[in-house]
Amino acid sequence: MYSNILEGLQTKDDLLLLKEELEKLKLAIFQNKNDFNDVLDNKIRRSISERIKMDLQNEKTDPAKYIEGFEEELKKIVEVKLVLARELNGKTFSSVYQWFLDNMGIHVVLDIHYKSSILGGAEVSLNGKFLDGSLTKKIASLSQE
Amino acid sequence: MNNHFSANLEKTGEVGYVKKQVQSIIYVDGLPTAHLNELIFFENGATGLVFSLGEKYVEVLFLSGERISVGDRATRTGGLVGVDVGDFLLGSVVDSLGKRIDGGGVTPEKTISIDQEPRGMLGREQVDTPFQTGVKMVDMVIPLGKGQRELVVGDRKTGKTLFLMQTLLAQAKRGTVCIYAGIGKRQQDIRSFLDFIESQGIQKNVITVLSGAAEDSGKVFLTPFTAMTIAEYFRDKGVDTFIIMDDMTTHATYYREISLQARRFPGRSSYPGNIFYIHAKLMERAGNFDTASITCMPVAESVLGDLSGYIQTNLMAMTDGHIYFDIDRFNQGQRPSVNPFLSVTRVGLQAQSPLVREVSRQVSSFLVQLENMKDFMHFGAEMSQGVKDTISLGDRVMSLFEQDYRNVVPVNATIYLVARVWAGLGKGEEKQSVVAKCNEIIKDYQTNKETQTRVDEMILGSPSFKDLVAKVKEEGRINEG
Repeated sequence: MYSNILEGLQTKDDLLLLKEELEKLKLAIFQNKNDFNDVLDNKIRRSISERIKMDLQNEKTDPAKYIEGFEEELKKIVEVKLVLARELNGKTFSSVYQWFLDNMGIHVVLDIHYKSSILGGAEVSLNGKFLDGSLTKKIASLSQE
Repeated sequence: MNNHFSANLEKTGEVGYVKKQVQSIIYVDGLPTAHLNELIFFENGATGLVFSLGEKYVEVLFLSGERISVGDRATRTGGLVGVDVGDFLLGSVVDSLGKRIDGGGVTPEKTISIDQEPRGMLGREQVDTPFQTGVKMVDMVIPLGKGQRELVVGDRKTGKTLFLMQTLLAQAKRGTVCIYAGIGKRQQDIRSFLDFIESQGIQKNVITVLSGAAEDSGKVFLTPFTAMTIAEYFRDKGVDTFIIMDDMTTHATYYREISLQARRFPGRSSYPGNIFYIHAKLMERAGNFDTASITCMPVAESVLGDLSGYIQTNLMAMTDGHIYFDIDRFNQGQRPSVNPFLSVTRVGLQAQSPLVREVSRQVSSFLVQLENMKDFMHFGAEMSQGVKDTISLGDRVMSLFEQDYRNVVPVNATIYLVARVWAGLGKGEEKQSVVAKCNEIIKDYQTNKETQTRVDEMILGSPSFKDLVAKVKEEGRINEG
């Protein structure tokens, strides 16, 4: 039910923004129906609100239950912390994200940070595991050899 | 980035992020395979100890280093908190993580984890060797043995620390490695202690493990564990050690603070449920072992003479007896203010020679008799000559036990003094005169080799106290003649 919205979630910022929007909708539900519709029309990104409206219409479900289920789905998303040397262009970003999707088999969002001292490559943290794939590390290990 | 952090991050491949900090407790998200008591490094070089593992966070007890911020990275080390040990420790002053704070050099032989399992019964032996405190009353009435764990309990300012210093002095002079663990101490008290060992010239046999009252509670909490680990290192080298934990009520207070910050469920007097286990495990690491002994004197502070406090009774249950410093006796001018009736030694007597055991029994039963008589006197009854003699002997015995904290008295000198008092020394004289005579005899014993040999031979050749008193009387007659 939520897959059409979740597909667009690729970064931690996207995730936080979506959580914020769901929170606004949740608050509105406990006021009156007009408030809910008002928030849905005016305070949520159009791309998201239209998909929510479509879901609610198709599934004929209660908005409160819908949002509750949505939040549960969001909890399953895994954050991957990525430290890069420079900003990625859209195409590279997409291929990096796709790599994670293909190799992890679960929905992930990327939390990207930049640190020029790593020169290239990436440092990856996932569920407390750390992988140093930076160029600095590679050079250091080559110089040791 | 700190080198230790990078090296451990590479080694363990695990990272965590600081989410929040409540005083000394840091909540870290990540570190999936962290285990209890593991040493944690933060990226700014700060260190911590895994205190508990939760569903969401790893709770880390902050130990040392720069203050950390939310978002800082942390990594595991795979090892427990350890202390560098080696002979360099002799004469040193270290903090609760074993780092020298006196500016001296460090040449560690190895690093040992401070969380050791106590040895099982196979490595242990009976307490069978006397442990001299150099304090006349304790050596006679509450004698101790090497490897004994004896609690020192009493109100504040009753002379507990002075007694401990005397014992430390007596043992350091005999070559025992003495370890003083000052737990959450005031800087002024630390200075006094260091000045004392320096003035007595015993630094070479004393290791001081200190944590100040203003230090992080995690560091204060670790102080006795570090001290005990150092003691175990010397024990394993075959050297007898003596460890003072000054004091365990402060230790319990700091642990309570940490536990409450970590939102652990409070038990009696708000102490956490595992306070007994924490102290009992520590006490169990002391004892008499096949390699050498660790004699342990934990200290507990009582309030208004109440011995039934939670921590005090816990410690009594874990130790092999206790020496009670009585505030009333202190106020009456008795030094040391040990209450012989409320003090206990459970394994000390078995370690003494038959003569010391007999003298101890004699003196103890006499003191009980004296106390009963004094109670009876409160009714204003007229005293017979027998009662008067007992009271007079009692006054002289108490005078004999008077002692300055800078002096330590060998056991043989004390036995000889008791025999002299029983033989009539100072009879009918003022207290000051008796004290002066006793001090003169001790001085003569300590400075005159001939006297020392004569007294030692006399004691060695006396199968019973009665025999010794007879010999002392005979000696007196010869001298008079």
